[in-house]
Amino acid sequence: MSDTGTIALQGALIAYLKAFTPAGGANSIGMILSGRLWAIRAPDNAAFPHGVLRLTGREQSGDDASLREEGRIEIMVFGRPLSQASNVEAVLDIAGAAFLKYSANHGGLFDVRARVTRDTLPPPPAPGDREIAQGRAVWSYSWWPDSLTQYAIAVGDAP
Amino acid sequence: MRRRFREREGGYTSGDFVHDYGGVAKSITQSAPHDHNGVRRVTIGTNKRSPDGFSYPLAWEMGHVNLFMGAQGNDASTINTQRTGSYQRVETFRPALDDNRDRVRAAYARAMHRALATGAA
Repeated sequence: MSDTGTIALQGALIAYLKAFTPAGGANSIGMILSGRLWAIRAPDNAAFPHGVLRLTGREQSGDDASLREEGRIEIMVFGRPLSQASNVEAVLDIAGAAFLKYSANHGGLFDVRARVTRDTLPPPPAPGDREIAQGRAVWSYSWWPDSLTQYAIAVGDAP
Repeated sequence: MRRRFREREGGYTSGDFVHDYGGVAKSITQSAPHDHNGVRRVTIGTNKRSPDGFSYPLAWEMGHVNLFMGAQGNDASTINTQRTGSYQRVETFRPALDDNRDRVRAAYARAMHRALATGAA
């Protein structure tokens, strides 16, 4: 159940980001990346620019009877050659707008809370590829997945 | 943190390109508690640099496209550890923080309790 929920959540977030059109009619993330936004890792030899979304640091702590999950959404965007840096930054700009006060039902109430960090990574020296433009942004989220809340005790049921 | 690096003394990935991983373990730095934007914090990092001054642990932590480690051996068992195409990433700092999150909270709780009990900041 939880695995299905995770995969579904990743897919829903990717679909939402790709389709989100920023105010002013600028290109969507899906248009800039030609649809190349994947979960966890990009296919080998993927064309540039492309992006990867990953869920990390997923915690289920004692607050809220552990029915709430808190974690991070990481999006890493790559461009090559370096002239695609504008695409990389544009994608992260739009993602920032897309996740601003974002709340939806993704197999349970899902909220993006804040952007934790955003970095433009420096091109590494050899053996790294210096022609790669790489940007990263991380948001914190909270999620009340149905896979957990189905076990919640209703008010009045507690012994 | 250092334990995590010691567990991988063979290098970040296959061992073919050992970038002095053990040296990174010895280079871990920890700041004294300090104020940052009104928040008390301790900064953990590394001062390890390649000869040209680049912080290569950063390239591994955040990932990089490696010119010499191409698309070979792409079976699922090597994902994130070896030659998964040309993009290479081995996170160490973030998972170490995740592992120690409860210890961080406990330390905070002890300090808070001490402050409340004694009135000391």
